[in-house]
Amino acid sequence: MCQIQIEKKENYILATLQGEVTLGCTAEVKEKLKEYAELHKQYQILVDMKEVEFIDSSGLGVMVAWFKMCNQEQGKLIFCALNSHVSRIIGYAKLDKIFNIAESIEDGEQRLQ
Amino acid sequence: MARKPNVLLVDDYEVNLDLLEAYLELSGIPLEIYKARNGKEAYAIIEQYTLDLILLDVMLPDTSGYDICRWVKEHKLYQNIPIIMITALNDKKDMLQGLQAGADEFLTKPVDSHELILRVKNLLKMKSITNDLDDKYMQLHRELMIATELQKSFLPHKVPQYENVYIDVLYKPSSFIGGDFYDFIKIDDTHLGVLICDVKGHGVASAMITATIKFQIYDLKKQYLEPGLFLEQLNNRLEQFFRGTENDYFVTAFYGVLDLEHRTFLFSNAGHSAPGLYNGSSLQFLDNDNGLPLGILADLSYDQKQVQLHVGDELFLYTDGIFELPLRGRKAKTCSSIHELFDESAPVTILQLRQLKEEISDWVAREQIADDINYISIELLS
Repeated sequence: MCQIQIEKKENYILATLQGEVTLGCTAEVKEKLKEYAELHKQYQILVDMKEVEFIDSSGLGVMVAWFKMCNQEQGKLIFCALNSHVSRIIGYAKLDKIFNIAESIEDGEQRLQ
Repeated sequence: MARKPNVLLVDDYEVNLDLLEAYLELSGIPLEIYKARNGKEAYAIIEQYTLDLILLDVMLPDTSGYDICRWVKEHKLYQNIPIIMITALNDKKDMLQGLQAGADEFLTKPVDSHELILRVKNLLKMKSITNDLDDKYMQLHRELMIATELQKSFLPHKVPQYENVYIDVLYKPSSFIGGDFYDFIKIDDTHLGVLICDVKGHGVASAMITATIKFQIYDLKKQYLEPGLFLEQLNNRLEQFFRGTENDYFVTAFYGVLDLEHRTFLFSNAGHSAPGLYNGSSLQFLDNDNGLPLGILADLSYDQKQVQLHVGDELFLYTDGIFELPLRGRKAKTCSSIHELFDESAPVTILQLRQLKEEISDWVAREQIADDINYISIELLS
């Protein structure tokens, strides 16, 4: 199971994703962040992935959905603090070619400036 | 409910049964009433009719009302039938026991007719909502089954047969519609196109995407011999198709062309797990600088690469569903590429590759897997 916590910061949204991001919980977390971003018209987003233990293809689907949303709205989406399993999965699917990936939240914040 | 609700009354005293029946008839609710005087009769009626409510006395000659209640509430087919237990006046112990057995409501003796009618009406209303939901669920279930069948029809009906090539396919969709898809394209006498892809997402949407891919393949004849261009075109078409949809669809795909005359394999990869190639001495990976999965961004280009094959070589194409299995003594969901399954210090033998395939088919034969499982192996014979 996975969950998401969303916080509004001064000039961006911080979303913390946790757990096993797999089929069964992805629809809900995907929509939560999308709705929040739409509500606040804020498409500068940092996703803290430190506590994501496992991700499957539907989890990648969520990341792609957020990526497309921020692209369409000319915003910026940065995935932060990926563990080695998650980076490998993203690498195999070659999504690291298009995703913005930061070592840490601080690193991500700097890149939003 | 289109029909009259079916109500079962269970009591060993004929007088009580008649009284309950009379109250219910007086209420004016159109009902079909069944009566049981003991547990044996009650079980028979529950199994024979589609009941909507049971009024159950606690004390019965051959069993207790609690046992019947528990049995009904634990039975997959009957657990939605509401139960009113009829207990002695204010016996708290009885009530707790009834609650434990799963009873929905209680009535105390002597039964008050107004209370009886109100409780019956409420529970029948609830049951009718449950029945509607069940019907809708069944309808959706049937439609999903149709989509599953439809999706199966897009897969090759048989594996191509050649004198000097042996092709083996394992395809096992997850319980319902999955997103794995593969196809063989007989381009001419000496060229065979092989496509394997994984539509990310499940359910009806992925069946529709599979259908789209199948139709696009027909339309890409000019690109059959050029894997890079083939994927480039397919990507543009899928990106177009996904525009304005839910956004999270994409497809990983690997397409290769086997030249049977020159024993070459020309391939291109769109974010799909790199296939393995056993080249006579060890297992290699068909890694090129592979591109993004299909359908995310338009106007991408995909590199293609060619490898020379020899008699005895074997190609192993797969989708990532196999990593949901605990393979080669590793925990499930800990690998994300086939080379992680093997000890890298020693060359992987053909025997190990065969054992891996056997292991996968054994798992698939034994258990229901959450993701689709699909592999294709192509062996070059002399």
